[in-house]
Amino acid sequence: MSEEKTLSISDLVVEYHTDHGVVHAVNGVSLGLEARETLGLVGETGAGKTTIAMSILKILPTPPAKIVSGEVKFEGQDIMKMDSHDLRKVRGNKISMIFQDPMTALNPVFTIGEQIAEGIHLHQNLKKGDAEIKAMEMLEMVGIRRERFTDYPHQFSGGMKQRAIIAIALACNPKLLLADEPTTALDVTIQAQVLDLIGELKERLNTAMILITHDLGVVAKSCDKVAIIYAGQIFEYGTKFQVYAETRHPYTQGLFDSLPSINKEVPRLKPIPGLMPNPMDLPAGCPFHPRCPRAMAECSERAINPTDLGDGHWVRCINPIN
Amino acid sequence: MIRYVTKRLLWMVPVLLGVTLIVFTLIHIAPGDPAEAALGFETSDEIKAEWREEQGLNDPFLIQFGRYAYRVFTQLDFGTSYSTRRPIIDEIKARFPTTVKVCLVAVTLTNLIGVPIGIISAVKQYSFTDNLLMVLALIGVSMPSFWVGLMFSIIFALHLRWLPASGLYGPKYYILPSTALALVGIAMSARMTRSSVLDVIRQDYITTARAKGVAEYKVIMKHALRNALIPIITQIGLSLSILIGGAMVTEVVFAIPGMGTYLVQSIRALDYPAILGTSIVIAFFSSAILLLVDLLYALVDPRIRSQFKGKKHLRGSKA
Ligand SMILES: Nc1ncnc2c1ncn2[C@@H]1O[C@H](COP(=O)(O)OP(=O)(O)O)[C@@H](O)[C@H]1O
Ligand SMILES: [Mg+2]
Repeated sequence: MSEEKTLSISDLVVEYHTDHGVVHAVNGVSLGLEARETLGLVGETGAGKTTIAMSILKILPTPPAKIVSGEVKFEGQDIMKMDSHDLRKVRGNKISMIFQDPMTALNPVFTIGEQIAEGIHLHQNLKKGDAEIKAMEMLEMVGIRRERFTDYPHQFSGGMKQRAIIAIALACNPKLLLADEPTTALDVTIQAQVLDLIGELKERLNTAMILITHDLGVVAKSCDKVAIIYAGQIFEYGTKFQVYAETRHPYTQGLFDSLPSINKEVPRLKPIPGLMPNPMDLPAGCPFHPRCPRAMAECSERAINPTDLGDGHWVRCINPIN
Repeated sequence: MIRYVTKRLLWMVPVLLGVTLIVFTLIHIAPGDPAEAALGFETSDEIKAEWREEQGLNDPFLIQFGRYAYRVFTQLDFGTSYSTRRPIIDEIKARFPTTVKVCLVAVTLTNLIGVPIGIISAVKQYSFTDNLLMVLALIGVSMPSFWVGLMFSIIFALHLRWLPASGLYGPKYYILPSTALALVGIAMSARMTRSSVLDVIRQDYITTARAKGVAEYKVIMKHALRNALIPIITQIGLSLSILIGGAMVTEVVFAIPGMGTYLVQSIRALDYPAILGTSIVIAFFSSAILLLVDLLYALVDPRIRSQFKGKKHLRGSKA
């Protein structure tokens, strides 16, 4: 893997050790991201998306989380090996995160302004007053009047909270933005607005982004590359065109088939039968085989490795489509 | 804000009336003749009867209660002591500051020691330190403060002779009673702080703070503690009420001339006005502390603060 990659994750394995057993949340994930690129990380709830994002910042709650193995290289440096001092210089500065639930991601006892200014003050060597001015500019950049600077989170609506969180995340011009389902918790009417805002600011600030979502429509609109994740494994990875038009993995195909489509005449959706396996008790072999229409005997017998299909298109399947 | 405080202060009137009624009833149910206690048992029956008439003790219960409550709540007149013939208010004024001082030292100790112990325990959850501190805290909450007081005076005053066991004639006299009093509070406050900090550090906004690059000690001391403070304040308020009760008994153990000792003396002497006056004053300050605690919430929690300010902010919030 070349050095100029903004992010390269290899063989990441993360477990949660709980009283009830070991949750195998991430099972050997490898991913790469070039500067300014947007990667869509798509998968159902519980697939391990948030765990991957939090591993990149090394902010998983430990215990119960345990990073068993793997490398997370950011601009050539392994984050897993950094000490807390170096980590703090990366967090919120070079890599930022937008969280899934804006209702709980802001501290209720500090003003919105204080919360935006905090990161700026920490990372940019600015005095408190200057950091506050910069924070007000950020607030305006995400479309909130600067008079709201001294408001508390409870005085903001959900959409405004998410905008404020975007302001916090982008305040230090990060190289990489991790957007974890940034619109899932919002009203449908403002989802598009918030996504457009993220896309626009990302372009303006030349930030690379991992956009976590379970919405393939969102990915189609805003991503360059796509990774399909299932039970902590990347099943298919490639450019948006490759994954959408040359779909190879049966699970990816299943996701597309379960989408409501306005173009097609067929109004009926075809949800994938069955449920995602319990990550405490994953089936042997390919974790998708119990639900897979193309499963063969071998699928349940051995671990499946990714196959390179050329041009950066990878699939983790021994009986892919075509 | 002012309206809220006024409302709460007015609410104290029925509470205090209730306390007065309860104490008044208890006194009347309890056996014993205050006349004999006040005048001595060799006094003739006529003089005693005359005295009872003079004190209004022969009137029907409700009349007595009404007359007393009227004087207290409209004129702040607590009557005169049966035993010393001095106004109750003067007796209380002479003793109240002592109790306040003992309690303040104890509360300060409680929180200066209890809160940090709780934070350390929470941050190092399930570590050896945490387990040790929590076992000690469990022992601490299980010991009544009068017993701790007795043990302290036996060990530190009687055997080791480090500190005085009774009276209140200088700063070092405060050490044993205040520590004995604070011990339960420290244990309670440590346990409470631990659980509220644990609760808060699981919240999403703590992850947000870490993701921003905030140093771990600041995540705890700034982002977590400010939120954990809300339940901690409740706990401080509660512990104060319990502490006042404990102080009454501890004062007796250490022979401190405060409200507790006075109350016990007055009960022994059947000095009705003294019992009533002391109880009402203590009840008043307990309710005042609870009010203060509620106002402190507003200081810590902006959500509660904006409730005080009225509806103005609610309108702005839906923008
Ligand atoms: N703190 C935790 N303790 C135990 N299990 C967890 C914890 N966080 C996540 N998990 C489990 O790890 C798996 C992956 O979770 P997550 O990364 O949040 O998935 P996603 O973001 O794709 O919905 C899930 O099975 C989830 O239940
Ligand atoms: Mg998630």
